[in-house]
Amino acid sequence: MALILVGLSHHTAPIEVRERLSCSGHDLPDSLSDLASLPGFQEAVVLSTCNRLEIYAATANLKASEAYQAICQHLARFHHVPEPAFTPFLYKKSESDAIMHLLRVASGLDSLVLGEAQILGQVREALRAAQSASTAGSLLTALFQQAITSARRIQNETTLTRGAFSIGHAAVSLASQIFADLSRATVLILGAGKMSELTARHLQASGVRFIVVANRTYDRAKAMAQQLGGEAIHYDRFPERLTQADIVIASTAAPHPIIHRATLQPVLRRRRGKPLFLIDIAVPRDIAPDVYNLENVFLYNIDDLQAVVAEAARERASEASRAESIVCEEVEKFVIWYRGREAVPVIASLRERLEQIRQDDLAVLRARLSHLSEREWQAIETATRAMMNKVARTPILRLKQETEQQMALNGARYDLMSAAREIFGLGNETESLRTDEEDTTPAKQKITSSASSAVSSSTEVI
Amino acid sequence: MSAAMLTGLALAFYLLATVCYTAGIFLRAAASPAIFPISTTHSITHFGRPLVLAGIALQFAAIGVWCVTTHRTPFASNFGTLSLTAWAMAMAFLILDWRINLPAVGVVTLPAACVALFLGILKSRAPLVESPLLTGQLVSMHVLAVLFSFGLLTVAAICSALYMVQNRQLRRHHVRGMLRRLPPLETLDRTAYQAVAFALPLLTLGILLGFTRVFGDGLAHSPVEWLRDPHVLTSLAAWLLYVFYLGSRLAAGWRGVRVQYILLVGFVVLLAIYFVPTTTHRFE
Repeated sequence: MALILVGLSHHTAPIEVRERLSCSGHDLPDSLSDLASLPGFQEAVVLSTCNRLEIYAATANLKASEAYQAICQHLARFHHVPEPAFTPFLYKKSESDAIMHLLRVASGLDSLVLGEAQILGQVREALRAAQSASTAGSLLTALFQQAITSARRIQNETTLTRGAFSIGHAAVSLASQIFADLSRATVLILGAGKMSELTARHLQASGVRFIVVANRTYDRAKAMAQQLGGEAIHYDRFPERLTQADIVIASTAAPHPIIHRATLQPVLRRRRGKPLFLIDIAVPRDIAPDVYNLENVFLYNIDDLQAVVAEAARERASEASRAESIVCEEVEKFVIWYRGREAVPVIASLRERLEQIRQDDLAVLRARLSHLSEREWQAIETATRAMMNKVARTPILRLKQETEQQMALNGARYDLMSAAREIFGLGNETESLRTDEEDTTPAKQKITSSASSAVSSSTEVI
Repeated sequence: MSAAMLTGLALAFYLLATVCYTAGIFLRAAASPAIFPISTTHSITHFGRPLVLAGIALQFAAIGVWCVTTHRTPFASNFGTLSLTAWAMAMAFLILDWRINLPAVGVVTLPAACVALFLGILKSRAPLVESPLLTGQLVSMHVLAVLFSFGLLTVAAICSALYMVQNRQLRRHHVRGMLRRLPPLETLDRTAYQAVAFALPLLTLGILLGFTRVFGDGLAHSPVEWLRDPHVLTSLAAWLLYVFYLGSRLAAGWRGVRVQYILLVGFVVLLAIYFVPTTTHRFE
């Protein structure tokens, strides 16, 4: 069985192409069924997000080029898009490259925002959809589960997926350094813009319950207040609300600052030392810089917040190399398991052959020893079966161990397996496996070359 | 086992607890990117509390052993007084930590308790004080109340100091390293307030018991002699500062940086009580 990946992402395709091939939730079962019905396709999983569309397939008795071609045709047919419109943006990977790619994707290493955790849920969802459509078999299920395990390991062992990455996250983090309980904090939003709404939503997600919105156009303030479950006030009334507010998000389109030192001084006297967190995300600024020096006031403008975000991103980037090495370890584990699966048909053939020999000999014996009772025959049956199992036990165990060890150590070909085929005359039974191997020789050579070679991932654009 | 040995063991436990709290904060800070606060505590921090508890138990045993072997109250020596001060600080921290989980406060409070204990151990062989002034339940209660209020006020001062550090780094937009593990400003402010709210009645009680002992039992030839003592005057000044702090919090609702200054000045005055010359609290 061969592992194939065809896909496109924000790295290779513009949004115009990605949106044409996007596969929404209700289209997914049909797409999966269509893929699974393609000749030679045994398993299929479709990972479709706003940044990528990827098709993972397990094929048998099919050349890699034929599999890629079949997937391209499926995409064109299913999405009603001519092939030339998207094929230049596709990447194709197979075997260890495909495994490595999925593990990196699930960990957020291939994401637009490095380390974002949302992709893990999407990977899990893709597997669940394929399992519901019965297109995920043992290979792809194991692969996706390995990807999930790898992503979890990275979450636990590195800080790649932790920390803030947006202005909203940074605002929440800073607010948590000031206020013990955000559910008691009151947020005053000045300017009903998209950014202020996003920041407020982040604060809401962290427990903030009281939100007051002021905007020059009262209707917009009202609309945003409704969306956030807050209260709308007229713009000219905001100074009096500063006394109750704990967090102020300023994001108006005013050309000059609307909050000055003089505005805040009487407010601060009334607040009696209660901290005031001012988030100024407007450009030009809504809050005059002379406010910085006021006691118990913490003013962060867009540059300050972006510096916070950049700091987090820098630390996250340094974590990426640790995450990459975890991915390599997990790929290695999976490749060993994956290659170990090839011993299964040899073992099955060996068992079959031994059983056949036993049955043949028992038939001859039955003719010669017809005087034996049924009870005695049962004892002979049990003894011969036990003998067969004892004979088969060591070769089977050695086959499994050797396959795994050789892969782990140097990726050498399976000499013992070849020997087993020769000794027990199992050549014909594993013919299909060999044909399959020949079809995907370059990829398999990569897998078996060495443990470290399994790490390097190459992208080939069709 | 001697009192000094038990105290030494308690010191070791406090030091271990400090290591746990520090390591917990350090490991969490290292495992969390950039300037962001860390919501959870590292598992190693959880060992801190049992270690503090063990230290407190050992110190209790040490003080008991000391009283039994010397047939004196613990206040008859600097060892006993310093040991009780450390005990009060550890107790105050443990209670607050149990309520609010403040490993960062432990990182500062426990070493302070260790310093007091260490100084106490150094003076454990000093001769005992023989003075009729130190006998009687009133004196014992006076000293205990004052020492426990000192323990709580030390924790309050540590919270205030951490508040100032946190306030400074937030205002400078520079929250990094282990300092990310500091509790929120509001938590530090509230903890300091709660510590003072418990300490001030104890301090008041201690001062009142002292006056009762002196004037009620006729120990003072002249009340002016006692009231002129810099030690007593400094104590009264500290008491007034804390009354002012609590009054400003309760009546005027003051919070923030300025009230932290009051607590820090109050702590300096508390320390001064130990160092100012005294005319009436000399028992040699």
